[in-house]
Amino acid sequence: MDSSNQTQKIVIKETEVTDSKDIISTLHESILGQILSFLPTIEAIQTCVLSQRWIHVWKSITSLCFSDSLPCYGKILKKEQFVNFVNKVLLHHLANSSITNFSLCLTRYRYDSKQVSEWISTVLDRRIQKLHIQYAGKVQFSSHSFFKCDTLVQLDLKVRCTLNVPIYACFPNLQNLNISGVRLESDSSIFSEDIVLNFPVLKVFEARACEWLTMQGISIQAPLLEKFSLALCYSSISNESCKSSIKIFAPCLKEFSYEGDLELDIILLDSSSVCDASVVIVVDEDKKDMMESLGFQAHKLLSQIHQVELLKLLFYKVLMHSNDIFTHLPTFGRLTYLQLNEVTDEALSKLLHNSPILNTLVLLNGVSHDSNKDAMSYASSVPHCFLSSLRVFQFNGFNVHEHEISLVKFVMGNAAVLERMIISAAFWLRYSDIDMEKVKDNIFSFPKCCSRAIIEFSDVNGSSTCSGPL
Amino acid sequence: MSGISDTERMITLKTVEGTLFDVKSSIAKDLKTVQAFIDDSDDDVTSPIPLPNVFTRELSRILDYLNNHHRFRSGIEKADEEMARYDAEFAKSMSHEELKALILAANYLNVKDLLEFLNQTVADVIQNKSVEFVRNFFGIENDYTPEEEEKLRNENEWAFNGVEQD
Repeated sequence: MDSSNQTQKIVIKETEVTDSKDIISTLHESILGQILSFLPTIEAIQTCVLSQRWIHVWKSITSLCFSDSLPCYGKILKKEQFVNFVNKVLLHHLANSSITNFSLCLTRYRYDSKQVSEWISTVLDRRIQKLHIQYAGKVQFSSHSFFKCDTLVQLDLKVRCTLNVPIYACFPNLQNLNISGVRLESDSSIFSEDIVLNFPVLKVFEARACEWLTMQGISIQAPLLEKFSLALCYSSISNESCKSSIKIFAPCLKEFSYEGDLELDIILLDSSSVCDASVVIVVDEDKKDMMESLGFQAHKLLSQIHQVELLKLLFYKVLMHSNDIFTHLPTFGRLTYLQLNEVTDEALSKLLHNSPILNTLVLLNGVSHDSNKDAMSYASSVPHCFLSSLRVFQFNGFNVHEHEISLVKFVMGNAAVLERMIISAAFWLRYSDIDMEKVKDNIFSFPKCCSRAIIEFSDVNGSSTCSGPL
Repeated sequence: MSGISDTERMITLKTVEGTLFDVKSSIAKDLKTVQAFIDDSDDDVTSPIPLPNVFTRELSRILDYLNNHHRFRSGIEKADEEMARYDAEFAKSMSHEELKALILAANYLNVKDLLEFLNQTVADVIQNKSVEFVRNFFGIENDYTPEEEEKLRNENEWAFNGVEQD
């Protein structure tokens, strides 16, 4: 029986006396149920064989955790056994009990969509507080039940489903929301009104790879929201005049994160509290017609977060048209940390001029130069941040190109309070025949505006050399 | 007695062995059973409150936990890492007997956060262990006959026989 199945050795120290009294069992079942609620559900159920007193204790658990890839005593359940197990627990034994936490993690097998849908539907009717569903397949459940789930405190929905959003929805207890792969639709009968989603106590809102296909714009009311993240979410662009927009009312918002092609209009009503922002612009190379409006859209977004202290601005698959974005830049009056991955020297110069109190500048992939333009002349004016605030300059992906060396020389020669400049050579230089020693010596020889500055040169083989006061 | 702010007031608790503990009223708030007693007495508590089910060792541990957590939470810097380290040490410092006794005391005194932490700790101890181990841990006497146990396992085959046979 159990001794023959025992594959686990007891590793905890055993110092207690063998005739210990069974005081724990005197506790009320609800307390024992709380302990069992922390176990994987299958182990909680197996406590029914401990003694006669324990035969029904497991039914007091308030938390269900089903995972098809979690081994039980070193073995994984077969698909049919797993399905049978979930059915027995969810639909038979705990059909009338109160479950507050439900976690369904299906990563090992593919299931019949109706089956998984049934499980989810059962749970939605049960005054659940924490809901976590992870499944790569498609499911279908009642949107009506979903939006009636007012007991939800934490929602983690990573499943392909379609939600029909009503004109007004409220989740009065929801503090954490994380959705992925969800398709949001709405009734097209009411055209003019925005859909209102009310989250009075929400702290974190994260949406990834969702489709916002509502006919109306969406207005999110989240007065306590601290973190907002929207990644790779798309709206239907079939009707130009009916463009989907998301308005966010979050006066306490601190962290804002966006990743996408800027087609979705994002409007932050009162964004003065946003402190950290990450904007990642990803555009398919095929969508050339989007490039024209890209600059305008980016400007709209950046203007809303112009008061941030930390900004990561990254571009992926965006061609050199990224310059449009920099023609009308807002002033980043409070920006102290700026991280970029792809930028031309011209764009960088504009950014520096618009960030008067910048302290740290990080270039993840060096700096490029538009070959159609003349060489960058830096002599015209020194950015304000050089005079009294720029202290750290990290230059990764240094390619030893002329325009990069010009930039390094310009910063070294004009940044009056520079403390550290770290130049990290690009990996491909390992295979070139460029004399890196010469390059390094050349850079070290440039005049330094701030004599205290330490210039660190990190070579392809990882070795670092510093030049500066020690 | 007027003029003393609520947080400075001291409450005296008496354990089974008669040991007296002076506790700040802000800490006593976390001992919901004690707080209920205070509320019922119209805040007029001058003599020590007797705790007939709580031993000195357990009360001392509970107060230690609460004092530390209050300290972590009141700091300006987020002390999450420190708190996690403290919790880990706290759990490790107890034998299974002490852990079980502490759960009973925390349950009696209704210390919600500590109780949840202890429940999680016990669950961690018994997770993925054999039935025999769990019985030993809790000190449970197996009152099933082998036939009864066999029958129970067969009836609940869906929960017991779910492991792959090979």
